[in-house]
Amino acid sequence: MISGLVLLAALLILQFFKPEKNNAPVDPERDMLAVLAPQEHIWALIRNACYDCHSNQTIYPWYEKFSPVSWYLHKHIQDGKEDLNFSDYGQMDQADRIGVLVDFCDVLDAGTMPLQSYLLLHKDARLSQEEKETLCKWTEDEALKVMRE
Amino acid sequence: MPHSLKHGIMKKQIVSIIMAGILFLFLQSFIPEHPEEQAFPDEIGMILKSACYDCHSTGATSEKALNAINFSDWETYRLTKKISLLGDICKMVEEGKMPPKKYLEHKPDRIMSEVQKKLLCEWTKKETDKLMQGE
Repeated sequence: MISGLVLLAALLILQFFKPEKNNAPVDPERDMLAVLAPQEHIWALIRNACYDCHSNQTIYPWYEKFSPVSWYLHKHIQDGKEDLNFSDYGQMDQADRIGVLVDFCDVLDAGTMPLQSYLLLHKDARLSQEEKETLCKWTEDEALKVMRE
Repeated sequence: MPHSLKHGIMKKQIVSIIMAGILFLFLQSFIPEHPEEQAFPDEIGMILKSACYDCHSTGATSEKALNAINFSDWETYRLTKKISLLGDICKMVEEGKMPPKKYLEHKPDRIMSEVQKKLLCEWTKKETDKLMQGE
């Protein structure tokens, strides 16, 4: 009974400590979707499947409000952005941008991204085979464009 | 068989043997000097063979490593993939992620020297520029 109360109190106190939110304004010169401006359905696929963890604009789920969930998400987002941040795309050099576009398709092909744990709670991030192929065709076209710059 | 006829057949045989010989010599000129075009310059090839090939060339057993990059198949990668991989090679080596520490514990002779790392990265950058210019 007492330990239950202690736990409850600890959880309540924990609610006062929340990580900073990942929601900076979009920089039109640096953000990949802004720079490359793909067709709307491609834009939406990438925004829904990748941008929560790989950009400066996370769209948070309702349960983000609760610590320690908020810290768990915060860590995920930090790790994701460290690997790849689409919000920095515009300032990468030519070779790195080609690398990002090629890797993009490769992780979809391999099924390593989006993460399974993310897909459980984000239905609109689940990509069909056809959608993956659409994205891979787009990334390859864009990579070739970067090559010809 | 008349003697002269026998002679004629022998003559024909000798002529065809000589012709075949000439043809054979002529065909030699079509054999490329390097039967297998080398994908990498000698120096780079040696570094890759020593530090990478155990896991990243045909015959290796780790599918994960081979999926990431198989140096034996280098020439089969498309242009954009090559550029992407060249960037990865330099980054992995510079950051000390490759070769993996565990591997180097077993095979300390495969540790890359700073000079080798520098050579490799200079090559990946040069090669990237070359590919970008569509060579």
